[in-house]
Amino acid sequence: MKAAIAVIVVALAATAWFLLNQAPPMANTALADTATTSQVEAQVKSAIENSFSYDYTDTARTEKAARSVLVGDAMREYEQLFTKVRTQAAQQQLVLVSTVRAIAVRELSQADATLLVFVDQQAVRTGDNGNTSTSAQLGVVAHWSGTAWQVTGLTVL
Amino acid sequence: MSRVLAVIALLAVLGAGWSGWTWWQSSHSDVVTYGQARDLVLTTASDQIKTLNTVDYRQAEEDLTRWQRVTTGNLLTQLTNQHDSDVNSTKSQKTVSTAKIIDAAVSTLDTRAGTATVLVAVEVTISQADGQPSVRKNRVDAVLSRIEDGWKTGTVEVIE
Repeated sequence: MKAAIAVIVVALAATAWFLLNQAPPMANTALADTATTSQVEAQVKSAIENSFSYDYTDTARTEKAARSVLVGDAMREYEQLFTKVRTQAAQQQLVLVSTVRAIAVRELSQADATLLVFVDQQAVRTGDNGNTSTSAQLGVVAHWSGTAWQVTGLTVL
Repeated sequence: MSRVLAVIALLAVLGAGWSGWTWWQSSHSDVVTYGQARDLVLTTASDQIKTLNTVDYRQAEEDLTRWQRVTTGNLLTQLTNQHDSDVNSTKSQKTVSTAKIIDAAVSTLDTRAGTATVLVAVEVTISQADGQPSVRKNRVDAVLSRIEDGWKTGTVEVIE
């Protein structure tokens, strides 16, 4: 009888200790969750490449791409970055091609991700055959909408 | 009565066993140790890229020795071979270079093989005896390897 009570007391104490000393669940699952990491990388890569590529003969395609993948602050930031491009595009017969050189997920939780993206941009002025290339580093915040990853934040680093 | 107690005791022991198992899992599961390794690689790579872009001609010997301490493999061999000439040129050109890490993220990590690649955006400010200081934003792809005394940078590729 006493032995049984002693066992109960010790077992309950142990249970309490184990429960109180659990490490918190890992908040950042970047790379650890390989499937989601590659998914967000692939979708953000194409979101950036499509939104930042521009052909003066088909401007609607870029607008449509941007509108489907960029939301909130990212859309506002994008509008600012792209207003100048739009006005130049027609005059200079501009074709812009953006390529993601490297991409990595820094933080990933269930529906949110932050990424570091290295982008190259090549501009060809069809009018006078001019050619310039630039490079940029982008800090990207993405959110899972339920069906796809959308870019909610965009910062030129 | 004693049978009831015996059942309760058994349940309590099973409960303790289960909670002990989840406790052990919470700090030893693969996914947790993997996450810890990723965080360590990120801070190590950031520190080492900063170190590898930092030099002051007034303490060139010390600074460039520090470059060797954070590297391994080919990069270490290269830095060791050219150490003396690097010290001399740093002193003669009065080079002062400082670096600020803008952002960084681990792009691959293989904890078994002990290899990782890390993307680092770094702002480097260089001043030399002749002329104005220049500021450059570099995009770096660093490959790290785990050796006996921790993670070290094995290659640094600046993505132009």
